[in-house]
Amino acid sequence: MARIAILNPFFTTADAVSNDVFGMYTALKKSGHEVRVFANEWTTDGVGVLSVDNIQNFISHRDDILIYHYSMGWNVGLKIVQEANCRKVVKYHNITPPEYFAGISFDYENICRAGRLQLIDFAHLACDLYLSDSEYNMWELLLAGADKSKSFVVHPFHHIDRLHEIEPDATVLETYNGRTVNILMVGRVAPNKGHISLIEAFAAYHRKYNPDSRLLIVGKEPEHLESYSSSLRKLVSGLHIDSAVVFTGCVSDEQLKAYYLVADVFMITSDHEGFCVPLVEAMALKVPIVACASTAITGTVGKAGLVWKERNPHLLAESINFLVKNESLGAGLGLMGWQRYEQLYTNEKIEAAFLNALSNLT
Amino acid sequence: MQIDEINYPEIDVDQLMARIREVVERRGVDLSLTSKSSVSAVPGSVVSRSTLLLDLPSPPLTLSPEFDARTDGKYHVKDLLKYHDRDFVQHAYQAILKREPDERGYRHNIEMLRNGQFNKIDVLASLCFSAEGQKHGVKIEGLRTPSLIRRLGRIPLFGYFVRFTVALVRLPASIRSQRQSEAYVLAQLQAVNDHLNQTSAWIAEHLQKHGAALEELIRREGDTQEELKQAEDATGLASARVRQLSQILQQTREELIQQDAYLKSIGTETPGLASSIAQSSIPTSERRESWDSLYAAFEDQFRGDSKEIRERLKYYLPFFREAGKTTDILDLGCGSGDWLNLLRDEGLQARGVEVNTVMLDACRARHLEVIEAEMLAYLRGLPDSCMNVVTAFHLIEHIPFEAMLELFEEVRRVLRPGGLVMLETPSPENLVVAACNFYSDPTHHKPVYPHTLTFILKNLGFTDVRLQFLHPVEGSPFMDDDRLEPLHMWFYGPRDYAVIAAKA
Repeated sequence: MARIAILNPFFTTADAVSNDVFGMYTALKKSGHEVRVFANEWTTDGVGVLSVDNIQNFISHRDDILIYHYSMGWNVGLKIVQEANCRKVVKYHNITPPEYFAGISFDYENICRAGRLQLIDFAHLACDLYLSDSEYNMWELLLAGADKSKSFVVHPFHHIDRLHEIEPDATVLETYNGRTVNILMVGRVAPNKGHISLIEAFAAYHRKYNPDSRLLIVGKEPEHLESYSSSLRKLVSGLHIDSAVVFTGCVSDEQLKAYYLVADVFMITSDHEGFCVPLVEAMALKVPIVACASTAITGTVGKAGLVWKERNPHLLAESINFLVKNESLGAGLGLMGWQRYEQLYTNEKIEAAFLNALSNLT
Repeated sequence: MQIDEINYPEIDVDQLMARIREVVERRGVDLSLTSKSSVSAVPGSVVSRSTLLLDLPSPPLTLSPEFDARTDGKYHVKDLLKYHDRDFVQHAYQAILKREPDERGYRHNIEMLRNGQFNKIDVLASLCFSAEGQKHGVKIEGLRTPSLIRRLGRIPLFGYFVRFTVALVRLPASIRSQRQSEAYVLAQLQAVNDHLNQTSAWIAEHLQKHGAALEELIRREGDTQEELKQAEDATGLASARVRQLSQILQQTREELIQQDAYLKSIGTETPGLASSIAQSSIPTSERRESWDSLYAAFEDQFRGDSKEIRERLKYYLPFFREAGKTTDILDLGCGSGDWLNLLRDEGLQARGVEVNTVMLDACRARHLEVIEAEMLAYLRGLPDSCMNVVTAFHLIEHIPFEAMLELFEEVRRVLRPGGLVMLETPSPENLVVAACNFYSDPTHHKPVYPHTLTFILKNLGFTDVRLQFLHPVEGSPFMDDDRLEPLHMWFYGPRDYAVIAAKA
């Protein structure tokens, strides 16, 4: 039976890319394949990660399969895919366009630029399969020149099963459960996540509809993006809503679950998302969604949330008001999200789509 | 829980969003107002871009008190009469019908109120006594009597007397109400006036504060087209340059790896082989430069016509087609790249290895993929089974026997099973070549006897070893007489021969 190597620059825990790699590994292992994960660096060894230096020996036969998880610029990875004499699969996770980091982080800007440049290289490699996290990612790949007949959408594997299993953090529940309406946003504090729109919409809701409300911004604040984080805090301060906005920083899975449980509405106004796993987490935990339409968000949410084409704070604020004021409406929308999760985004559904896509390999 | 066990809500998201939009529009909110995206087109602080939008001097002006919806469905008529116009209609719907007004109902009621045909009592009564209102069962204390009087007042003739009598009886109350209304309107105007003054002061202050920034933005706006064009040009150039640099970087990295491998390896070689390779491949840079130029010039003069060489090399192409090998082709000692060029023209993906810097430059000028490295060191650095074809034309006669053996071993190791090795070298069976022409090239070491070569390859485990003599000399006077055949072979026989073998 053909051997399968999954190649990814960095493998760790609690990271969307690594969750996806782990999911692919588990699915392939379960279906009886000889599969190994190769990486340049890794912080966890749950799957027996091997150094990238050994990959050539592992996939030496023409029938072997190399799955490259493309989520950042990595010349070594590109070269290995170029030179591999076996069947090649690229899984495209998307890379944030560098423009978002201009004037904020030179390093991030350069890393993203280098990563985006490789999109054309990968698209022209004539790989045997191109798998994309979302329709939007697939569109980017096709635009770069990938073969449409070899392109499929396979949503990323995730850690939601674990979220369902674990107990929520008691301190978070105790602190934020109560009368105050909680609006939740989950995601790295980075400029592509549209925090300005988020904060402005919340300010409009807080002022006009409900001063007893709170915005919970859950997500890591990278050191290199400190100027962006501090600008957001100044914005919050300038809008006189300091006491109503909480930046939680990086949280554990238990804390994350607790934040979803106390949330009345999940609001996301990102400018650029390749898929947006937090949306699926919100759906799985039945939190109603209010969002701005951009990149992959529209496709991920579908008709299971209020997705506005306009980035208008008043529309977003009124949407929150509708969902909060009318509890059955909020709960109903939350259930519609859960239904969409069950239909499209469970790890079982993703596994089936993944194996089905791989069956197109000749 | 299974999906089909759940009783799903039927929420039409589009309809819900249309309702939300309607409510927002009714408040007179400008929906063209767009919150800033995070794209940092102009480097600068997020705050400076955002506070222009929403950092208002005070909460928005509201002229009506907040509406307090009762959960028990009981109101006094005064709870609703204190609202006016749009707010009144909206709150009346919310209180009595427990929903937002529909478009038609809203327009109708506003119109009737504004043209005087309805007063607020009429609106409340029409909602309260409608079928939908009755269904909700909301009680409005103090509505029944005035509503009855209003209805009596509409009866022809009799209604006139009713209205007249009510007006007379209510005259003192009406005058008081008129005064209250006047005071209320004046107070509202005062509030509007205060708010406008406050807003104007805030705008003036912020205009002054952000004046410089605005001017800068306007100036930038003016330059945008030009900058965009420049940026587009620069991006194109930068992309091309980045690719070029990446290629160079990749080549440099490969060369460094080879050099490193080479330096490591010469420490472990037998002294004779090591010194011979070391001497031949890494002379001082000055010597090497001059030697490279000299040898390139020599090759140029003695190797023959380029066109003819290309034709001769075409002999090997069918072997590629036959074996289906199109990629991962390595040419050792690629010279100035005639063979690589032909392969590329045929759509085959190949790279060359060469030490002569002048020839390397020639290859690069033809945009061929070449690596500057000593061939044995380069081969040692390659992983097992990574090549489909290795070619070495007029190379083995340049190296000592031990090096040749190691070369074949390395070639066998890097070839994939079924991979081909193709060699070409001068044939010593032609005596003119063996005794004379061979020595025209001062870097030639020894001629290799054809059957010795095939024997070595077979012995090293290669299969399908094929020997083919090539390039006979034209104009042989010994052709017509069989007895002179040996003479023909010795003096006019093939000048070169090829050996093609496969890895088992």
